[in-house]
Amino acid sequence: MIEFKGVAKSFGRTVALDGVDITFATGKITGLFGPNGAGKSTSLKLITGLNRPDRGEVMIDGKDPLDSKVEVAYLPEIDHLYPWMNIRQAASFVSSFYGDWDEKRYHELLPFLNLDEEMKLGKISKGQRAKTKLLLCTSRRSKYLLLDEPLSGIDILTREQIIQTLIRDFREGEQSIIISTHEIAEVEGLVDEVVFLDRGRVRLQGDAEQLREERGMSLVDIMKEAFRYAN
Amino acid sequence: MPTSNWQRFSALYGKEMRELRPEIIIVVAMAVLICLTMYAKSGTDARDLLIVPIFLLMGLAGFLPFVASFKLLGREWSTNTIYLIMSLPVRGGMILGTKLAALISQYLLGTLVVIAAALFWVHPHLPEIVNSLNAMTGSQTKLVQFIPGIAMAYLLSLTWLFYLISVSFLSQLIGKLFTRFNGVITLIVFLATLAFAGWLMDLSRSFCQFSSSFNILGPGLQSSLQQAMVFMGVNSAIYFVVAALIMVVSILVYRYRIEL
Repeated sequence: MIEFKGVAKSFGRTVALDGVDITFATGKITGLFGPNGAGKSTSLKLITGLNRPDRGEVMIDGKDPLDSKVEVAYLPEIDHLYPWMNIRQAASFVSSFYGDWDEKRYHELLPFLNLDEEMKLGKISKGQRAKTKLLLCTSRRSKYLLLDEPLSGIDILTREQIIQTLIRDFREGEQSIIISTHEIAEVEGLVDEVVFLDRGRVRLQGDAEQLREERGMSLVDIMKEAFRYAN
Repeated sequence: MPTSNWQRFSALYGKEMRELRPEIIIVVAMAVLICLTMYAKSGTDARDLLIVPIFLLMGLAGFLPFVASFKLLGREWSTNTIYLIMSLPVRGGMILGTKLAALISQYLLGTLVVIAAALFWVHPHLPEIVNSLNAMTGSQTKLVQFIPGIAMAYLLSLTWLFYLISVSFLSQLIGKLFTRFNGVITLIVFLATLAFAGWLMDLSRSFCQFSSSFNILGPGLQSSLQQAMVFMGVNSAIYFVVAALIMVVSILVYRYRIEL
Protein backbone atom coordinates (compact mmCIF):
# COMPACT_ATOMS: atom_id res chain seq x y z
CA MET A 1 0.00 0.00 0.00
CA ILE A 2 1.23 3.49 -0.85
CA GLU A 3 0.29 6.26 1.54
CA PHE A 4 0.59 10.03 1.32
CA LYS A 5 0.13 11.70 4.71
CA GLY A 6 -0.16 15.50 4.65
CA VAL A 7 2.32 15.69 1.77
CA ALA A 8 3.33 19.14 0.61
CA LYS A 9 5.82 19.89 -2.14
CA SER A 10 6.76 23.18 -3.76
CA PHE A 11 9.22 24.12 -6.48
CA GLY A 12 10.23 27.68 -5.72
CA ARG A 13 6.98 29.61 -5.49
CA THR A 14 5.00 26.95 -7.35
CA VAL A 15 2.98 24.70 -5.07
CA ALA A 16 2.86 21.21 -6.59
CA LEU A 17 1.17 19.41 -3.69
CA ASP A 18 -0.52 21.09 -0.77
CA GLY A 19 -1.04 18.82 2.23
CA VAL A 20 -2.31 15.81 0.30
CA ASP A 21 -3.62 12.61 1.93
CA ILE A 22 -3.99 9.70 -0.50
CA THR A 23 -4.01 5.93 -0.09
CA PHE A 24 -3.30 3.86 -3.18
CA ALA A 25 -4.86 0.47 -2.55
CA THR A 26 -2.87 -2.69 -3.17
CA GLY A 27 -3.86 -4.91 -6.09
CA LYS A 28 -5.83 -2.29 -8.01
CA ILE A 29 -5.42 0.07 -10.93
CA THR A 30 -5.72 3.67 -9.81
CA GLY A 31 -6.19 6.58 -12.17
CA LEU A 32 -4.47 9.77 -11.05
CA PHE A 33 -6.37 12.40 -12.98
CA GLY A 34 -6.24 16.14 -13.30
CA PRO A 35 -5.32 18.96 -15.65
CA ASN A 36 -1.73 20.03 -16.39
CA GLY A 37 0.02 21.28 -13.28
CA ALA A 38 -2.32 19.43 -10.92
CA GLY A 39 0.54 17.59 -9.17
CA LYS A 40 0.20 14.17 -10.86
CA SER A 41 3.82 13.80 -12.00
CA THR A 42 5.12 15.16 -8.70
CA SER A 43 3.06 12.52 -6.86
CA LEU A 44 4.66 9.75 -8.92
CA LYS A 45 8.13 11.21 -8.49
CA LEU A 46 7.61 11.28 -4.74
CA ILE A 47 6.72 7.57 -4.83
CA THR A 48 9.85 6.74 -6.84
CA GLY A 49 12.05 8.84 -4.57
CA LEU A 50 12.99 11.29 -7.34
CA ASN A 51 11.47 14.05 -5.20
CA ARG A 52 11.23 14.41 -1.43
CA PRO A 53 8.27 15.98 0.36
CA ASP A 54 8.76 19.36 2.02
CA ARG A 55 6.19 18.32 4.61
CA GLY A 56 4.38 15.09 5.46
CA GLU A 57 5.47 11.62 4.43
CA VAL A 58 5.16 9.13 1.62
CA MET A 59 5.32 5.47 2.63
CA ILE A 60 5.44 2.32 0.51
CA ASP A 61 4.40 -0.67 2.62
CA GLY A 62 5.53 1.34 5.66
CA LYS A 63 8.97 2.07 4.17
CA ASP A 64 10.63 5.17 2.78
CA PRO A 65 10.49 5.33 -1.07
CA LEU A 66 14.31 5.40 -1.22
CA ASP A 67 14.32 1.94 0.39
CA SER A 68 11.53 0.59 -1.82
CA LYS A 69 12.88 1.29 -5.31
CA VAL A 70 13.27 -2.40 -6.04
CA GLU A 71 9.47 -2.83 -5.74
CA VAL A 72 8.61 -0.02 -8.13
CA ALA A 73 8.60 0.11 -11.93
CA TYR A 74 8.40 3.68 -13.18
CA LEU A 75 7.55 4.93 -16.64
CA PRO A 76 8.17 8.69 -16.84
CA GLU A 77 6.57 10.90 -19.46
CA ILE A 78 9.94 11.97 -20.88
CA ASP A 79 12.36 9.74 -22.81
CA HIS A 80 14.74 8.53 -20.14
CA LEU A 81 16.58 5.74 -21.98
CA TYR A 82 20.07 5.97 -23.48
CA PRO A 83 19.69 6.74 -27.20
CA TRP A 84 22.81 4.71 -28.15
CA MET A 85 21.29 1.53 -26.71
CA ASN A 86 19.17 -0.85 -28.73
CA ILE A 87 16.18 -2.56 -27.09
CA ARG A 88 18.21 -5.66 -26.21
CA GLN A 89 20.91 -3.57 -24.49
CA ALA A 90 18.31 -1.51 -22.62
CA ALA A 91 16.57 -4.70 -21.44
CA SER A 92 19.87 -6.22 -20.35
CA PHE A 93 20.76 -3.03 -18.48
CA VAL A 94 17.41 -2.78 -16.65
CA SER A 95 17.27 -6.52 -15.87
CA SER A 96 20.63 -6.26 -14.06
CA PHE A 97 18.97 -4.32 -11.27
CA TYR A 98 15.74 -6.19 -10.72
CA GLY A 99 15.31 -9.73 -9.52
CA ASP A 100 11.67 -9.62 -10.67
CA TRP A 101 12.68 -9.35 -14.35
CA ASP A 102 10.74 -11.94 -16.36
CA GLU A 103 12.73 -12.90 -19.46
CA LYS A 104 9.89 -15.06 -20.80
CA ARG A 105 7.41 -12.22 -20.59
CA TYR A 106 9.90 -9.86 -22.21
CA HIS A 107 10.21 -12.17 -25.22
CA GLU A 108 6.42 -12.55 -25.41
CA LEU A 109 5.85 -8.81 -25.27
CA LEU A 110 8.37 -7.93 -27.98
CA PRO A 111 6.27 -9.25 -30.92
CA PHE A 112 3.03 -8.27 -29.17
CA LEU A 113 4.22 -4.64 -29.20
CA ASN A 114 5.71 -4.98 -32.70
CA LEU A 115 9.20 -4.25 -31.43
CA ASP A 116 12.52 -5.70 -32.50
CA GLU A 117 15.44 -6.21 -30.11
CA GLU A 118 17.90 -4.63 -32.54
CA MET A 119 15.99 -1.33 -32.82
CA LYS A 120 18.18 1.53 -31.69
CA LEU A 121 16.39 3.81 -29.23
CA GLY A 122 17.78 7.01 -30.72
CA LYS A 123 16.45 6.12 -34.16
CA ILE A 124 12.93 4.86 -33.52
CA SER A 125 9.65 6.80 -33.51
CA LYS A 126 8.07 8.37 -30.43
CA GLY A 127 5.40 5.66 -30.38
CA GLN A 128 8.04 2.92 -30.50
CA ARG A 129 9.98 4.59 -27.69
CA ALA A 130 6.78 4.75 -25.62
CA LYS A 131 6.21 1.04 -26.26
CA THR A 132 9.83 0.29 -25.34
CA LYS A 133 9.44 2.09 -22.03
CA LEU A 134 6.29 0.10 -21.38
CA LEU A 135 8.04 -3.12 -22.40
CA LEU A 136 10.85 -2.53 -19.91
CA CYS A 137 8.37 -1.79 -17.10
CA THR A 138 5.94 -4.61 -17.76
CA SER A 139 8.65 -7.22 -18.31
CA ARG A 140 9.16 -7.03 -14.58
CA ARG A 141 6.86 -8.67 -12.06
CA SER A 142 6.99 -5.52 -9.96
CA LYS A 143 4.63 -4.92 -7.10
CA TYR A 144 4.01 -1.32 -8.10
CA LEU A 145 3.81 0.01 -11.64
CA LEU A 146 3.74 3.79 -12.05
CA LEU A 147 2.85 5.21 -15.44
CA ASP A 148 3.18 8.93 -16.05
CA GLU A 149 1.18 10.00 -19.10
CA PRO A 150 1.83 6.73 -20.95
CA LEU A 151 -0.45 7.77 -23.84
CA SER A 152 0.76 11.32 -24.31
CA GLY A 153 1.51 12.13 -27.97
CA ILE A 154 0.93 8.53 -29.05
CA ASP A 155 -1.20 7.56 -32.08
CA ILE A 156 -4.49 5.73 -31.62
CA LEU A 157 -3.21 2.28 -32.67
CA THR A 158 -0.24 2.45 -30.32
CA ARG A 159 -2.52 3.64 -27.51
CA GLU A 160 -4.65 0.56 -28.06
CA GLN A 161 -1.57 -1.67 -27.86
CA ILE A 162 -0.39 0.00 -24.66
CA ILE A 163 -3.77 -0.44 -22.99
CA GLN A 164 -4.00 -4.05 -24.18
CA THR A 165 -0.55 -4.71 -22.69
CA LEU A 166 -1.62 -3.31 -19.35
CA ILE A 167 -4.81 -5.40 -19.32
CA ARG A 168 -2.94 -8.51 -20.43
CA ASP A 169 -0.24 -8.35 -17.80
CA PHE A 170 -2.02 -6.88 -14.79
CA ARG A 171 -1.91 -9.26 -11.84
CA GLU A 172 -5.08 -8.41 -9.94
CA GLY A 173 -4.73 -8.46 -6.19
CA GLU A 174 -0.95 -8.73 -6.40
CA GLN A 175 0.12 -5.71 -8.38
CA SER A 176 -0.84 -2.06 -8.04
CA ILE A 177 -0.83 0.22 -11.05
CA ILE A 178 -1.07 4.00 -10.87
CA ILE A 179 -1.75 5.73 -14.18
CA SER A 180 -1.30 9.46 -14.23
CA THR A 181 -3.03 11.09 -17.19
CA HIS A 182 -5.25 13.92 -18.26
CA GLU A 183 -6.66 11.75 -21.04
CA ILE A 184 -9.26 10.05 -18.88
CA ALA A 185 -11.48 8.70 -21.63
CA GLU A 186 -8.70 6.42 -22.87
CA VAL A 187 -8.26 4.64 -19.55
CA GLU A 188 -11.80 4.98 -18.18
CA GLY A 189 -12.51 1.28 -18.54
CA LEU A 190 -9.21 0.28 -17.03
CA VAL A 191 -9.19 1.91 -13.60
CA ASP A 192 -10.67 0.56 -10.36
CA GLU A 193 -10.01 3.63 -8.25
CA VAL A 194 -9.65 7.29 -9.11
CA VAL A 195 -7.96 10.32 -7.55
CA PHE A 196 -8.73 13.71 -9.04
CA LEU A 197 -6.04 16.28 -8.34
CA ASP A 198 -6.27 20.00 -8.94
CA ARG A 199 -3.58 22.58 -8.13
CA GLY A 200 -1.93 20.30 -5.62
CA ARG A 201 -5.07 19.25 -3.78
CA VAL A 202 -7.27 16.18 -3.91
CA ARG A 203 -10.56 17.25 -5.43
CA LEU A 204 -12.22 13.85 -5.38
CA GLN A 205 -11.25 10.23 -4.78
CA GLY A 206 -12.97 6.88 -4.59
CA ASP A 207 -14.02 3.70 -6.34
CA ALA A 208 -14.48 4.35 -10.06
CA GLU A 209 -17.57 2.18 -10.47
CA GLN A 210 -19.22 3.60 -7.37
CA LEU A 211 -18.60 7.17 -8.50
CA ARG A 212 -20.05 6.42 -11.94
CA GLU A 213 -23.17 4.81 -10.38
CA GLU A 214 -23.71 7.52 -7.79
CA ARG A 215 -23.42 10.35 -10.29
CA GLY A 216 -24.77 8.60 -13.35
CA MET A 217 -22.00 9.86 -15.58
CA SER A 218 -18.60 8.90 -16.95
CA LEU A 219 -15.34 9.72 -15.19
CA VAL A 220 -14.64 12.38 -17.82
CA ASP A 221 -17.92 14.13 -16.98
CA ILE A 222 -17.33 13.68 -13.25
CA MET A 223 -13.97 15.39 -13.61
CA LYS A 224 -15.45 18.20 -15.68
CA GLU A 225 -18.13 18.74 -13.07
CA ALA A 226 -15.70 18.58 -10.15
CA PHE A 227 -13.41 21.14 -11.75
CA ARG A 228 -16.27 23.40 -12.85
CA TYR A 229 -17.40 23.78 -9.23
CA ALA A 230 -13.84 24.10 -8.01
CA ASN A 231 -13.16 27.01 -10.37
CA MET B 1 15.94 -13.69 -6.88
CA PRO B 2 17.52 -10.28 -6.21
CA THR B 3 20.44 -9.31 -8.41
CA SER B 4 23.88 -9.02 -6.82
CA ASN B 5 25.74 -5.77 -6.21
CA TRP B 6 28.44 -7.00 -8.58
CA GLN B 7 25.87 -7.46 -11.36
CA ARG B 8 24.55 -3.93 -10.76
CA PHE B 9 28.05 -2.47 -10.64
CA SER B 10 28.99 -4.25 -13.88
CA ALA B 11 25.90 -2.95 -15.67
CA LEU B 12 26.57 0.64 -14.60
CA TYR B 13 30.32 0.40 -15.25
CA GLY B 14 29.73 -1.09 -18.72
CA LYS B 15 27.33 1.73 -19.51
CA GLU B 16 29.85 4.39 -18.39
CA MET B 17 32.65 2.79 -20.43
CA ARG B 18 30.41 2.85 -23.48
CA GLU B 19 29.87 6.58 -22.91
CA LEU B 20 33.65 7.11 -22.78
CA ARG B 21 34.40 4.96 -25.79
CA PRO B 22 34.97 7.82 -28.33
CA GLU B 23 37.66 9.53 -26.18
CA ILE B 24 39.40 6.21 -25.46
CA ILE B 25 39.44 5.33 -29.16
CA ILE B 26 40.90 8.75 -30.07
CA VAL B 27 43.83 8.40 -27.62
CA VAL B 28 44.57 4.78 -28.55
CA ALA B 29 44.32 5.52 -32.28
CA MET B 30 46.68 8.51 -31.98
CA ALA B 31 49.20 6.46 -29.97
CA VAL B 32 49.12 3.70 -32.58
CA LEU B 33 49.47 6.27 -35.35
CA ILE B 34 52.55 7.80 -33.69
CA CYS B 35 54.07 4.32 -33.23
CA LEU B 36 53.53 3.52 -36.88
CA THR B 37 55.03 6.87 -37.94
CA MET B 38 58.04 6.24 -35.71
CA TYR B 39 58.44 2.85 -37.29
CA ALA B 40 58.21 4.33 -40.79
CA LYS B 41 60.74 7.08 -39.95
CA SER B 42 63.13 4.62 -38.34
CA GLY B 43 66.75 5.76 -38.61
CA THR B 44 65.94 9.35 -39.54
CA ASP B 45 66.05 12.60 -37.51
CA ALA B 46 62.29 12.98 -37.92
CA ARG B 47 61.87 10.02 -35.61
CA ASP B 48 63.45 11.92 -32.67
CA LEU B 49 61.00 14.77 -33.15
CA LEU B 50 58.13 12.41 -32.37
CA ILE B 51 58.89 12.70 -28.65
CA VAL B 52 56.90 15.98 -28.71
CA PRO B 53 53.59 14.45 -29.88
CA ILE B 54 54.12 11.58 -27.41
CA PHE B 55 54.33 14.08 -24.54
CA LEU B 56 51.31 15.97 -25.86
CA LEU B 57 49.39 12.73 -26.14
CA MET B 58 50.35 11.80 -22.59
CA GLY B 59 48.97 15.15 -21.43
CA LEU B 60 45.79 14.53 -23.41
CA ALA B 61 45.36 11.00 -22.01
CA GLY B 62 45.81 12.38 -18.49
CA PHE B 63 43.55 15.39 -18.95
CA LEU B 64 40.67 13.81 -20.89
CA PRO B 65 39.20 11.86 -17.92
CA PHE B 66 38.90 15.11 -15.97
CA VAL B 67 37.06 16.78 -18.88
CA ALA B 68 34.95 13.64 -19.34
CA SER B 69 33.91 13.76 -15.66
CA PHE B 70 31.80 16.81 -16.55
CA LYS B 71 30.35 15.05 -19.56
CA LEU B 72 29.60 11.80 -17.75
CA LEU B 73 27.57 13.38 -14.96
CA GLY B 74 26.19 16.42 -16.78
CA ARG B 75 24.88 14.39 -19.71
CA GLU B 76 22.58 12.39 -17.41
CA TRP B 77 20.63 15.61 -16.89
CA SER B 78 20.81 16.93 -20.44
CA THR B 79 19.50 13.64 -21.89
CA ASN B 80 17.01 12.99 -19.03
CA THR B 81 18.63 9.61 -18.34
CA ILE B 82 19.00 10.81 -14.75
CA TYR B 83 15.32 9.72 -14.39
CA LEU B 84 16.40 6.16 -15.14
CA ILE B 85 19.55 6.31 -13.01
CA MET B 86 17.84 7.81 -9.97
CA SER B 87 14.95 5.35 -10.11
CA LEU B 88 17.33 2.36 -10.02
CA PRO B 89 17.57 0.51 -6.69
CA VAL B 90 21.20 1.48 -6.08
CA ARG B 91 22.82 3.94 -3.69
CA GLY B 92 24.54 7.15 -4.74
CA GLY B 93 27.87 5.56 -3.82
CA MET B 94 27.49 3.02 -6.59
CA ILE B 95 26.30 5.56 -9.15
CA LEU B 96 29.22 7.91 -8.54
CA GLY B 97 31.60 5.02 -7.83
CA THR B 98 31.02 3.45 -11.26
CA LYS B 99 31.54 6.81 -12.95
CA LEU B 100 34.78 7.26 -11.03
CA ALA B 101 35.89 3.71 -11.86
CA ALA B 102 35.18 4.30 -15.57
CA LEU B 103 37.13 7.57 -15.60
CA ILE B 104 40.08 5.96 -13.80
CA SER B 105 39.93 3.09 -16.33
CA GLN B 106 39.96 5.62 -19.14
CA TYR B 107 43.06 7.23 -17.60
CA LEU B 108 44.81 3.87 -17.11
CA LEU B 109 44.00 2.70 -20.60
CA GLY B 110 45.00 5.98 -22.27
CA THR B 111 48.19 6.61 -20.34
CA LEU B 112 49.39 2.99 -20.45
CA VAL B 113 48.92 2.84 -24.21
CA VAL B 114 50.87 6.11 -24.59
CA ILE B 115 53.59 4.88 -22.19
CA ALA B 116 53.84 1.68 -24.21
CA ALA B 117 54.13 3.74 -27.40
CA ALA B 118 56.81 5.94 -25.79
CA LEU B 119 58.74 2.89 -24.56
CA PHE B 120 58.57 1.45 -28.03
CA TRP B 121 60.34 4.57 -29.25
CA VAL B 122 62.71 5.17 -26.33
CA HIS B 123 63.75 1.68 -25.22
CA PRO B 124 66.88 1.42 -27.43
CA HIS B 125 68.09 4.73 -25.94
CA LEU B 126 67.34 3.97 -22.25
CA PRO B 127 70.93 2.96 -21.29
CA GLU B 128 72.26 6.19 -22.89
CA ILE B 129 69.74 8.30 -20.94
CA VAL B 130 70.64 6.63 -17.61
CA ASN B 131 74.36 7.01 -18.35
CA SER B 132 74.07 10.72 -19.07
CA LEU B 133 71.98 11.17 -15.87
CA ASN B 134 74.68 9.37 -13.88
CA ALA B 135 77.39 11.49 -15.51
CA MET B 136 75.49 14.66 -14.53
CA THR B 137 75.09 13.60 -10.89
CA GLY B 138 78.25 11.59 -10.42
CA SER B 139 76.38 8.52 -9.17
CA GLN B 140 76.06 4.93 -10.36
CA THR B 141 72.28 4.42 -10.45
CA LYS B 142 70.93 1.48 -12.42
CA LEU B 143 67.91 1.63 -14.66
CA VAL B 144 65.81 -0.64 -12.39
CA GLN B 145 66.34 1.75 -9.47
CA PHE B 146 64.21 4.33 -11.27
CA ILE B 147 61.22 2.00 -11.53
CA PRO B 148 59.80 2.50 -7.97
CA GLY B 149 60.05 6.26 -8.43
CA ILE B 150 58.23 6.11 -11.77
CA ALA B 151 55.55 3.85 -10.24
CA MET B 152 55.13 6.27 -7.34
CA ALA B 153 54.83 9.21 -9.74
CA TYR B 154 52.11 7.31 -11.60
CA LEU B 155 50.31 6.62 -8.32
CA LEU B 156 50.51 10.31 -7.46
CA SER B 157 48.99 11.20 -10.83
CA LEU B 158 46.17 8.73 -10.17
CA THR B 159 45.33 10.18 -6.75
CA TRP B 160 45.54 13.66 -8.27
CA LEU B 161 42.99 12.61 -10.90
CA PHE B 162 40.76 11.09 -8.20
CA TYR B 163 40.94 14.43 -6.39
CA LEU B 164 40.00 16.45 -9.49
CA ILE B 165 37.13 14.10 -10.37
CA SER B 166 35.76 14.31 -6.82
CA VAL B 167 35.83 18.11 -6.96
CA SER B 168 34.18 17.98 -10.39
CA PHE B 169 31.38 15.70 -9.13
CA LEU B 170 30.75 17.76 -6.01
CA SER B 171 30.63 21.07 -7.88
CA GLN B 172 28.31 19.68 -10.56
CA LEU B 173 25.94 18.15 -8.01
CA ILE B 174 25.78 21.38 -6.02
CA GLY B 175 25.17 23.24 -9.29
CA LYS B 176 22.25 20.88 -10.00
CA LEU B 177 20.56 22.01 -6.77
CA PHE B 178 19.85 25.33 -8.46
CA THR B 179 17.51 25.80 -11.38
CA ARG B 180 19.10 29.09 -12.48
CA PHE B 181 22.76 29.98 -13.08
CA ASN B 182 23.80 26.41 -12.31
CA GLY B 183 26.78 26.61 -14.70
CA VAL B 184 28.18 29.64 -12.87
CA ILE B 185 27.44 28.03 -9.50
CA THR B 186 29.26 24.86 -10.60
CA LEU B 187 32.32 26.93 -11.58
CA ILE B 188 32.31 28.90 -8.31
CA VAL B 189 31.91 25.73 -6.20
CA PHE B 190 34.64 24.02 -8.24
CA LEU B 191 37.14 26.83 -7.61
CA ALA B 192 36.10 27.24 -3.96
CA THR B 193 36.46 23.49 -3.31
CA LEU B 194 39.90 23.47 -4.96
CA ALA B 195 40.97 26.41 -2.80
CA PHE B 196 39.58 24.85 0.38
CA ALA B 197 41.08 21.44 -0.39
CA GLY B 198 44.42 23.11 -1.20
CA TRP B 199 44.38 24.82 2.19
CA LEU B 200 43.46 21.51 3.85
CA MET B 201 46.35 19.76 2.12
CA ASP B 202 48.83 22.46 3.11
CA LEU B 203 47.62 22.08 6.67
CA SER B 204 48.11 18.28 6.46
CA ARG B 205 51.63 18.71 5.09
CA SER B 206 52.60 21.14 7.85
CA PHE B 207 51.05 18.75 10.39
CA CYS B 208 53.24 15.96 8.99
CA GLN B 209 56.19 18.43 9.23
CA PHE B 210 56.91 17.49 5.67
CA SER B 211 59.24 19.56 3.54
CA SER B 212 58.75 19.57 -0.21
CA SER B 213 62.11 21.21 -1.01
CA PHE B 214 64.69 18.89 -2.49
CA ASN B 215 66.75 18.76 -5.62
CA ILE B 216 66.42 15.67 -7.77
CA LEU B 217 69.41 16.62 -9.93
CA GLY B 218 71.64 17.65 -7.03
CA PRO B 219 74.58 15.59 -5.83
CA GLY B 220 73.57 12.18 -4.56
CA LEU B 221 70.94 11.04 -7.04
CA GLN B 222 69.92 8.02 -4.98
CA SER B 223 69.21 10.06 -1.86
CA SER B 224 67.26 12.54 -4.03
CA LEU B 225 65.27 9.67 -5.50
CA GLN B 226 64.40 8.50 -2.00
CA GLN B 227 63.36 12.03 -1.06
CA ALA B 228 61.22 12.19 -4.19
CA MET B 229 59.61 8.87 -3.25
CA VAL B 230 58.72 10.20 0.21
CA PHE B 231 57.43 13.43 -1.30
CA MET B 232 55.22 11.60 -3.79
CA GLY B 233 54.09 9.02 -1.22
CA VAL B 234 53.00 11.62 1.33
CA ASN B 235 51.30 13.72 -1.35
CA SER B 236 49.53 10.67 -2.78
CA ALA B 237 48.18 9.83 0.67
CA ILE B 238 47.04 13.41 1.32
CA TYR B 239 45.40 13.72 -2.12
CA PHE B 240 43.70 10.37 -1.62
CA VAL B 241 42.26 11.24 1.81
CA VAL B 242 41.04 14.69 0.67
CA ALA B 243 39.57 13.23 -2.55
CA ALA B 244 37.79 10.49 -0.56
CA LEU B 245 36.32 13.10 1.80
CA ILE B 246 35.05 15.20 -1.12
CA MET B 247 33.61 12.05 -2.74
CA VAL B 248 31.74 11.16 0.47
CA VAL B 249 30.24 14.67 0.55
CA SER B 250 29.25 14.28 -3.14
CA ILE B 251 27.52 10.97 -2.38
CA LEU B 252 25.62 12.56 0.51
CA VAL B 253 24.54 15.48 -1.70
CA TYR B 254 23.39 13.01 -4.38
CA ARG B 255 21.44 10.91 -1.90
CA TYR B 256 19.84 13.56 0.24
CA ARG B 257 19.63 16.74 -1.84
CA ILE B 258 19.33 15.94 -5.53
CA GLU B 259 15.77 16.00 -6.87
CA LEU B 260 14.24 16.04 -10.32
